[in-house]
Amino acid sequence: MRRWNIKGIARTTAIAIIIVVIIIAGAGTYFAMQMLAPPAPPKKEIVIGVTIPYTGAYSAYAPWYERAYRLWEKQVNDRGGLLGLSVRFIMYDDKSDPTTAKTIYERLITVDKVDFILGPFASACVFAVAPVAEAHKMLFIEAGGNAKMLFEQGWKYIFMTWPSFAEDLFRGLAEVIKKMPTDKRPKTAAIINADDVFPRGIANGTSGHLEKAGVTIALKEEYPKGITDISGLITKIKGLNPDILFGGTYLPDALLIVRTCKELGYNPKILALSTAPALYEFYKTLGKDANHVVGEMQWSIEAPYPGVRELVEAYKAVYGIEPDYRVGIAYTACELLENAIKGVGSTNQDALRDYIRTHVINTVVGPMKYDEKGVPEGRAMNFQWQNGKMVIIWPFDIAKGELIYPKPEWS
Amino acid sequence: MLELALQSILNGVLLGGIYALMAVGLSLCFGVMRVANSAQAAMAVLSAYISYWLFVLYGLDPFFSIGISMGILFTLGLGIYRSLVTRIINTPSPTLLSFLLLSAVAIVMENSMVMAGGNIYRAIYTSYTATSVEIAGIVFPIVRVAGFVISMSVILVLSLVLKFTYVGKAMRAITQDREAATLMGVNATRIGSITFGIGAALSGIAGVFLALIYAFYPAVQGLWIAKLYAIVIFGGMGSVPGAMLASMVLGMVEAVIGVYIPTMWAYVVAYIILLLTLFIRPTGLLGK
Repeated sequence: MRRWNIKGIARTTAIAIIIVVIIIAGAGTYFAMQMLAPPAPPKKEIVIGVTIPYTGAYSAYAPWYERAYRLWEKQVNDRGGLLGLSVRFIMYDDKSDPTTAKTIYERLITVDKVDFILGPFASACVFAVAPVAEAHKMLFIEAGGNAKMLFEQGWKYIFMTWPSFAEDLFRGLAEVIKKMPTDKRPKTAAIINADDVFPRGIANGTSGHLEKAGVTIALKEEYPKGITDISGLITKIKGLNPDILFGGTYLPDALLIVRTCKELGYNPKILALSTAPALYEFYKTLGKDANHVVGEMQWSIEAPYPGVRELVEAYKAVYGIEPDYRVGIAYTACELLENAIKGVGSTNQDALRDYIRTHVINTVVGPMKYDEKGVPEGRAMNFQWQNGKMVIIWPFDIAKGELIYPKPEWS
Repeated sequence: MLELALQSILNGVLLGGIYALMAVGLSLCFGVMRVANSAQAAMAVLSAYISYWLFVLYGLDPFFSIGISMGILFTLGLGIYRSLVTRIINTPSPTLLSFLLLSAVAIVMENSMVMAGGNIYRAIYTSYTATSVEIAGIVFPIVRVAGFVISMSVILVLSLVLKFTYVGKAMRAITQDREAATLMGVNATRIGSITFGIGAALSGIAGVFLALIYAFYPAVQGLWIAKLYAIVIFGGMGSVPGAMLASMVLGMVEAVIGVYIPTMWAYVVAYIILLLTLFIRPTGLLGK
């Protein structure tokens, strides 16, 4: 039955017309306001976004990175800022978790709209965040990760401020061993590492270097990252009694390994650990038990480069303690950024990237000459704690002492 | 080879001793009040923090802070019981609700500790840390042995309390038959809160040793409570001797197996045993 309700049609039409009018009015107002709106205010500052592992497995490293960044922030603003603008850091907690770090960097770039980002700490987090930097074509100077695989992904914006890959951090130890008379050299090694990107990288790399020095790997095992009791593994190793114990560690597990070895009466001829022995907390916590441990560092306060003295003095003046290598590496990232911005005269990410690739920039870590993968020319140092001092044993041209071998008994 | 096996058995037994304290607390709470105290491990971590800060700030040797930790945790246990647990104790499913309630308490405790001090690994290093005595080729780490001896003494005292004191008998009465016990004049709420307090105090003692022997951080409570439940179910929920036996057995199995298989797998052992228990004998070794 075709019976249209005249009143109904009229009402429907009226409603439709009202809706259309509202939409047109709204759209019109919006565009009018856009045309009449004042121009965006000129940029007042340069914002740099970064995550720091305030909580989680890497949290021992957090205050050192934060302090280094804040020190540079203050210094650069005292110098007049960059491009006439003041510089400000935004720092978020990535909980030492790669997924969290990745989400936060997305937010920093798209929501906070930072001008620059610096990398997070630890190879695992750098690995998660680098694709974000690549996707947004943002310069990605990172002071956090040096596992070789980070530079085999074909990324174009990444630059690391570590002079050496994780894998090569203990090349020096192998060189020292090669120099020993053949009959006195250590013959066997146990390699253990946390199940994380950097420890795995350094364990694999060191394993290779030691094998080239004629050492047989008696055991190679991973342990869970958050481990609180390593006595089972150390007991197993004690049973095998290798000459060398190498740990691919961060700080907490390194302390645990030293303490457990002493507790169980296992005294390897060489005890070598990654990162931890060079850190301020290591000797402070272990005292004389730290002696004769072999470690690696990529910067020391005695490094013979311009700016090192000033950095050490400034750091001591503000924070009351001496910096360790974490500060040097973090500060270098800031120096690279500052140098590139001054050299290019703008904040264009691509131009800055090309500048860093084509210029040798002087930093506290040394003259940084990068290849197209973002890897600088450089090498790490190996040292041994002797009588409460870190004595560099390699490279030979800057060595201050010799490896004390074998390690004396625990006292 | 024999030395290696003996050493790992010793490691396991010493490890089991520390776990036993917390496992006994957990089993006791369940046996007496049908309460699953998921905050057992969080309480131990809190106690670890208390001893840590007393040591770092005031130089108080951790062995002397055992009493302080026990006191604080006992009071906290009483407080939690009276304010929170009593609200769910008379519902039809107190066990499930207590499990959830105390899991929430554990998470709140963990995050409060993170906010207060950060999720940083801490451990107490004293002049006697890592010292050990070697007897017949087996190494006895002194602090672990002390922890073991103290744990066993405390559990012994607890069993004497259970057997000979009024409170202990009341606790056993409630375990057997709650209604009958109440009819006989036992104040279930009062006994319940004392039991919960005792469980917390046991965690308090364990926490001091956790700080001395291991490294700890707030999030570790989640790992430990899972293992504690595995131990307690294996030993039989509600049975104090069962909890002790299970702690030793699991400690030993984990330590010995860890010598022969990769470390990453050794951690799974406790849970495999849990699964087997639930399949073969769900009441556990000594449960009813």
